[in-house]
Amino acid sequence: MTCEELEERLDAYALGALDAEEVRAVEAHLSQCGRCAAEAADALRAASALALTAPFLQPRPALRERVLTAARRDVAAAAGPGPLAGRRLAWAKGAAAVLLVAALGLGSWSLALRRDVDRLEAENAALRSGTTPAALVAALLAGGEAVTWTLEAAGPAAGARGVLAWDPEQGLCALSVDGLPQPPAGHVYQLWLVKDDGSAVSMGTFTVDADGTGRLLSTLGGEFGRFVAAGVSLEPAGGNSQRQGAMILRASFRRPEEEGASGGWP
Amino acid sequence: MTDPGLRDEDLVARLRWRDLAAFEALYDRHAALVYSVAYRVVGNAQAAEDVTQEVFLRLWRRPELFDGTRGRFTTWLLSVARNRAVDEVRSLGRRLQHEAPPPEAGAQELGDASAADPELEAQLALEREAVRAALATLPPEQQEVLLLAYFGGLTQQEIAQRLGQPLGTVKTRIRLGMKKLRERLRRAVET
Repeated sequence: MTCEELEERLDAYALGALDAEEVRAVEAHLSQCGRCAAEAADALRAASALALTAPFLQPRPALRERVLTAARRDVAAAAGPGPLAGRRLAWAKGAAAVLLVAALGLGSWSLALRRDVDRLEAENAALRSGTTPAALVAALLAGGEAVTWTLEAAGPAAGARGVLAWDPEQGLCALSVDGLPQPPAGHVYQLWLVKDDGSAVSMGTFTVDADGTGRLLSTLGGEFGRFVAAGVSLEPAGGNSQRQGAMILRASFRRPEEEGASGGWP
Repeated sequence: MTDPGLRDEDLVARLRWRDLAAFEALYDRHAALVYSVAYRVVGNAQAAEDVTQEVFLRLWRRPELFDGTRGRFTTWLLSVARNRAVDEVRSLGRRLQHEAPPPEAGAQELGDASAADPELEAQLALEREAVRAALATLPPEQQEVLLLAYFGGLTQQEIAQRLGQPLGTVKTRIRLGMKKLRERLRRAVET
């Protein structure tokens, strides 16, 4: 199809008045021709203006509830198949760090839970969801594309990889890494989430076992949507209030074409 | 609470990391428009609601389908809505019951969402006026084919058959109608 032929069909295309075969031919041309693609955007904008000629109506409030509930269910379902599929993660707020580690089998996890301890609540949470917190977190990490990110090695720790997952509803963030070397004496690994303004927020510190496996569970609050990247760095024991170590693992939440030359890193 | 100053594109970007607040904000901004287009196409409240729900859930599940380099978010969303509504009519066929349409929402009837963003609402009302005025300046036969195509979901061939007109005539009316519509809209923006 030539540009001239396309121009003849553009209005009908924008209105949705071409048959399937012609649509295919038009879209094939548009994917190759920037000039015609710009014309098409213009035609589509004019066609969509027709939408405004429809009488303006408000849907019922019940529709809003239905749509938002369905979206929320989606987030929970993304935590993986099995007993949790389609259910909200029933992780009680204020679940106890120390008590979970001791009583419910999260021995290998470092915990950076900021909320206060309540043993009874923690046990109830596990009972209500019908599973153990370890399984909850595993499900969180096993989640679909929507809620997990892979961290890639960026420098010294060439063989290391990580998975980061979170549940915005529950305000929980879980990190699982493999292949990390033991930190040198007096040092620890620290997880950071990076905001769109370049500032890095600490999500806690963790160590690795003999296999090079590290796990961190952390609470996540506040301006969740502003995080654009995550990374793990090596810091002095006890962690650092500001990131100083080089990033060993990192993940960017942006599409590659949105990143600047720095790859989004401050 | 999501900042009302955020652009649609920024809200959509947040959907990629499952930001429900951003999704709610997008729903509150655009649901009425999506519903209105759907209703105009399907002519039935239940079907229009189903279409609206599907459009928004699709956005939630596949935010990456919106390509910000190709145009505005509303343009994309409305085209998804219109196409989905046309498909719904086709798949429901004779099961689709037409109703007497409700009256258009008056200014006082607008819900909480628009009250929270009066500037957006005012802008939308102005745009609506401009487009309706622009369409009204077109000769009736051009208006007719544009509306049959856009809301009726008919192809040029089907419109020609429906109206008992030659295909060439229909094609010409579409081109002239859209050309005039674009001119009027451009002029409206410039004044």
